[in-house]
Amino acid sequence: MANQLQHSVCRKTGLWLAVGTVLFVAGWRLVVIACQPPHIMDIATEIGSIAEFGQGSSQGGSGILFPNNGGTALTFFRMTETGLGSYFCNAGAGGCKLLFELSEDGYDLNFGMLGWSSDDKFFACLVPTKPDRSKKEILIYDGATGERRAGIPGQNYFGYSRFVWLSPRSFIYTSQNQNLILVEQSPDGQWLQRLGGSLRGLFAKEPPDDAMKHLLATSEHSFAWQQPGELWTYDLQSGAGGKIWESATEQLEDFSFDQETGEFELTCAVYDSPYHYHAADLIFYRLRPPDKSLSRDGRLTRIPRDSRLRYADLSEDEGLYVFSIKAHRDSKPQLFTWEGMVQTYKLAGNSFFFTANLPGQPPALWCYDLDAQDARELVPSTKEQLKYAQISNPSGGTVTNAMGDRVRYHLWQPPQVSPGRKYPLLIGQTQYSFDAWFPCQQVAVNAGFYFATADRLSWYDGFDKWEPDVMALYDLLVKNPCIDTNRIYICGLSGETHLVPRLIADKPDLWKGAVLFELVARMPDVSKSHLTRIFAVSGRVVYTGDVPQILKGEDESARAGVPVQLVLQDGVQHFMRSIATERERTRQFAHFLVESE
Amino acid sequence: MAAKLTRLFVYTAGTLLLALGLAIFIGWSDETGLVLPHDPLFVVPMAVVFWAVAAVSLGTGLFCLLGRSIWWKLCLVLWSAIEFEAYQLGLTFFVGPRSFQGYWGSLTGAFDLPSSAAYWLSTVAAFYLISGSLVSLVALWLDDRKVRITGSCVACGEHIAFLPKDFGRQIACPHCHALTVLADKLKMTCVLCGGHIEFPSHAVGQKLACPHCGRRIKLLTALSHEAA
Repeated sequence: MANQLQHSVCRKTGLWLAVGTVLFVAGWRLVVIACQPPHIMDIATEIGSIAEFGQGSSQGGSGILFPNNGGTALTFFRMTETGLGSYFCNAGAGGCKLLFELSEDGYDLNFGMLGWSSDDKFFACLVPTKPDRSKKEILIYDGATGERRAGIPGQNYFGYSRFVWLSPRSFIYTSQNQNLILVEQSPDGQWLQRLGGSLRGLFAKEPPDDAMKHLLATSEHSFAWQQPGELWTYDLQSGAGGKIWESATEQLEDFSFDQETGEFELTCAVYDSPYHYHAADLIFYRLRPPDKSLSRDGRLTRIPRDSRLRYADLSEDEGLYVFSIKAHRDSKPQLFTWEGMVQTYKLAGNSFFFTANLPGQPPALWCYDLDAQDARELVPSTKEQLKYAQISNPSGGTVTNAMGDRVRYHLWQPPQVSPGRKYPLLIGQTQYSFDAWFPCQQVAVNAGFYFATADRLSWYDGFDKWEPDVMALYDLLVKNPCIDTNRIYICGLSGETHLVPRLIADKPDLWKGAVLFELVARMPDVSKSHLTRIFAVSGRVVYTGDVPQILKGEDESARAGVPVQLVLQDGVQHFMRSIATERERTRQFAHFLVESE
Repeated sequence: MAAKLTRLFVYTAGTLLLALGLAIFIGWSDETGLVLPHDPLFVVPMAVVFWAVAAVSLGTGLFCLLGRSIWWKLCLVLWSAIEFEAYQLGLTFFVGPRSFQGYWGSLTGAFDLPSSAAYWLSTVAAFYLISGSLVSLVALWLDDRKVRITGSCVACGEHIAFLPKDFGRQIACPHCHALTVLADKLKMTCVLCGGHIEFPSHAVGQKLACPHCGRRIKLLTALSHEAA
């Protein structure tokens, strides 16, 4: 009896200990969760669920806003839950209508905005057909209502095709082998396509497929285009064409054509190498194309910045944006200030469209009426007010790097900063305008991090001085009494992930962790660093070849004692293009931030 | 004293292993959506290793707290701890001195522990479990080897082994749970002639001729009378 009693007592003790252990472990976890910033995963979910205005394909480049010529309507790209949507918006009525959607894993060379006809009655888009996405179709939409009017098989359209409306009822596009496909609307309303000419005979040495950029109609039967450092024209009626301008020292950034005067306006940048040019030092030219009496050279005139036909310039000082807008040849420039962050903008007619946010608000699509001098919101980003997240706007300034260059920087700080308390810092260098709205930045700030970027003027600008720029900013920020110098994380995005490992190798003692967005490079060599954690996120689809390298890097880091939080998003290309994917990224990033601190 | 210490050790070992198993499960479930590396020793996904270690820890921990056989408990604790320590040492010597922190460190974030602290905690815990279970097993073995007297239950007649120091103690029979006295020889008075009879405890219940009066009697004790 006593033995049985004793066994029973033992069993009860064991049971109590088991229950106590479960409660202890669960309690510990709950205390850790309670000590994290409140609602951080809700905040990450909320920020990740904001429908961002996304980069979509257009005519050999990418863009977000595509207004018509009169500024009365526009199409734009914005993320949907499962992909990237193309939307139509009537500027007068506001609101938007989804035209078509490309799923996250879609092949984007078969998808894009092609442009508006000169009378704004139609606009064209390229979409992959369903269910076979390898085939594509050119869709013609009504410019006033966004209704679909026609679909033209796009079998001749390839990844590097270029498109231009020649007249309200005709357009051309280039196909492989430099052929020109002409599409015209017949009197009965049918759209018919045929071979309209060929550019092949123009070139002494055939340029690569992606050399031709930015086609522009100069008449109903002629057009112009730019190639690196060159400007070309072609006439469909005569079949004649050629180079009308070239430069070995200047990078042709953009050009426009004034039908009234028959002049081209060229925007150039002084450049040192194909991927290194000073986009800030823009030079403007007017070019009158050579007539028959001239042999080859057109008449080129350098003009001051203010003499341009029409423009919208943006400058930024201490977080305040100032637009300088000139809508017409003869109008006076207007100044328009904006207090939030600006992502992108386009001038069309008397309307100035831009995506930006007001302080404390997520970004939306806005229209500034140059006549009424009034800005109004056309399309909001979210249907409801944010419940948990606080949107932070940056402060800005300049710092001098070791090479003596002045570097602009932006600093986002946590919503509530307690005096005397020290906060961790995420530091890197991102192209500011490109990342004016970067959800992970806002997640970091809401998680109690400072986030600092040394700005680059354009994506390809400043890679060579990435390290001195970041170190200059680092040296400035470590003097900030609110920043904990033992909790500084280095971060990089896309191509910058090649540079982060170099900086970690050069300055191994400075960083507590590394954050690599859209990783395309090898993981940092952590064997001699003091890193405690690495966060890396990448899509699986495009960079399939790099996945084994990324996994190898993860393994090497683990062998060296640094755990890696690696997120490889299935069905995602290099740049993510859906709300669901963004939400997953922000949640994983928030998870990394709270567990690292 | 030794038995008490062994019991205490088994309780702490069970608690430790149960906590470790739960912590691995929670830390692992926290890693949903992440791509984990492959284990460098077994070349299987780390998720498999996490699952196996967590399951073994949980099972052993629960058995230590709720199971019966002390031998099995100690053997399981020793086996689990040796496996874990061998794995940890394998990582340290064959992969890299900090590799355990690299491969397992991601789990510690859920409990706000630095991976180095988790590494040292697990090392100390493994050492405690191995040394504790070894010492307890040796103590049990020695205990078993001590001189024992074999007696029988006065109620059911089954054999009971006991230490000399327990001679004369009244206990509950481990077989029938009836109260019995630990003794190797028992005494009774012949119910017919009143003569004293001494007999081994395992002979209780047998019928034999009384050495004094020669008539057949049944060997009984006062306790077996009460029990009857």
